[in-house]
Amino acid sequence: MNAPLTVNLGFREGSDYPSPVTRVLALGYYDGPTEGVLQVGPSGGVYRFAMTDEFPGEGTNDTDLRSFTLSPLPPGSLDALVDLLAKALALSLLPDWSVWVPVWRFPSSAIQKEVEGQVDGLLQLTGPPVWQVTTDDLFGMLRNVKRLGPGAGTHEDSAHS
Amino acid sequence: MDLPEDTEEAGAGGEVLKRLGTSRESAARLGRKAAEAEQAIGIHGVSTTAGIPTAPASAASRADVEKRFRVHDTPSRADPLHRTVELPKPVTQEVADLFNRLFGRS
Repeated sequence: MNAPLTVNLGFREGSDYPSPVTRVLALGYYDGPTEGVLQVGPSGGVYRFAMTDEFPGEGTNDTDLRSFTLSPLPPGSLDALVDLLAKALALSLLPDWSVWVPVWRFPSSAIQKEVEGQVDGLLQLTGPPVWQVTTDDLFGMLRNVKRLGPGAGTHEDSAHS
Repeated sequence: MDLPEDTEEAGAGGEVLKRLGTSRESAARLGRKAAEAEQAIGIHGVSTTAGIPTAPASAASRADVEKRFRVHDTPSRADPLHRTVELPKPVTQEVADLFNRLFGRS
């Protein structure tokens, strides 16, 4: 009897498999996202990510490999951040985006301070790091994925969902 | 190469732009990074910072860079002094040579 076909829309330990990432809100950018919040699948787990290391030229075709830690956030965190920033930055129309790097420029310093407080409040709900991902493209092939923390060695996606 | 016509974002006199790394960058590498930035931030360019670099970096005065390339203020939450140096499409060898020369990369 054939095993039922399952589709894993999250991360798993392993090498060289397609990224499940669908959206990235970059709060840091340097020749690519360096930190922020990402989402897996169309409505899957949400993680805060932060670059921890970089390996220039070691990716495919001389690209730069970057290692990131991923820490789970509650579901809806990405949408809440996007809504907050879109309003604060007076965006009348949300862009059709897979990566959004908001230019951190607000109408006033008072608004900026208020928004940063709200952003910090949402990000305070971040759990401990659960994945280390090494890739030259968060939407491309993942060179290596390792599980971190006490659950290391298990294979399921542990983000809130 | 055309000089930038709109320089209203300039005017940060004395600002120094730092780009991570000290080695010469190829036209292909600069072009790839510029294309990625265009997708993400809407500017065909590469990252620099006017702040303190997080690793060894090469530097150039913003005024000198702006004589040949447009420089955009693109602050992020993580780096309020992030700047993007806009590069022409395509990034030719001539462009790469000029960019490397401005940043003292041999």
